Amino acid sequence: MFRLFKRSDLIIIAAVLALSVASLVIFRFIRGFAEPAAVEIRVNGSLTATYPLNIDRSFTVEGFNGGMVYGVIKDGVVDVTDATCPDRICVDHSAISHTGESIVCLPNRVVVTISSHKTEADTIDAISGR
Amino acid sequence: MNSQDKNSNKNKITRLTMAGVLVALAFILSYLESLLPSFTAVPGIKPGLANIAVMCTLYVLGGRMAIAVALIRVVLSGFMFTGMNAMLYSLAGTALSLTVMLLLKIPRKFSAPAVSIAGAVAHNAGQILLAWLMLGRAVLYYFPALVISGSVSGLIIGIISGILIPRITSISHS
Repeated sequence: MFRLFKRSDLIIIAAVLALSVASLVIFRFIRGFAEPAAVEIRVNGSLTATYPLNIDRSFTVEGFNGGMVYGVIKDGVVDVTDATCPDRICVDHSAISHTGESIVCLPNRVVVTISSHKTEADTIDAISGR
Repeated sequence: MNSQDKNSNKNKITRLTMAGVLVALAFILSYLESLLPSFTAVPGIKPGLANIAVMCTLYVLGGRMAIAVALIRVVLSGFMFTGMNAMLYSLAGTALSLTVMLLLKIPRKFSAPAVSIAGAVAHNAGQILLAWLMLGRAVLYYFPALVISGSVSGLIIGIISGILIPRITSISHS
């Protein structure tokens, strides 16, 4: 088994490792400038606010019945940190970062979605048709 | 001289037969792979079983035969299982993968598993480059995942090929 490999294989392994690290770095870089994804806030179905995903900020949403939802956008990740609702499912929901993901607060009728306003070809879902 | 002729003739026949068997093997492996469910969210992550046959061809019969086997396999399985669109992607991946594997095999320094890893990563890179041209740069998101999955499947395929190659060589030279 061991004789399958040779010492100079380390060169190829190092090259592949370097490539994967480089691609991860480039991946983050592209994420920064190529996808100005937006965080859309909907209350009772109508769009009330849109924030860019790549700028850190916190936001407050007034829900349908006057309840409040508090969220944070940080490093391209959106999380609902607090809400004035009985079940707090949206607070327990894990943070979202990908286009198409959403956090829903039913009692307040608040939906937080990440969307990309680019052409269809640019969204990740468009190419999984295979 | 006559016996030498006979010998080279026999050799040719052996090589051709081997190539035919390897094409059949590659084809069957593509079929097996088309039966496997896609178990990840990212399209393009798959074991690449047919590369076992291509690797064996590369090491037993040489580069030209490997190109032939790989191309025939892509065209056959493209028409039979995957369809035109996937065939294009497959061609792009195979072209880059073969180029890398042929180049890496020349110095005779690298083992079969290492060549296979590089080939698998190159295959995924070729596909993602074509996808970039056709769909836009958002697909580059997939690249890190494909590099990692490519090196894992390339390693497994390479170890299998590394075990098979000496055995097939001993058959074809007997």
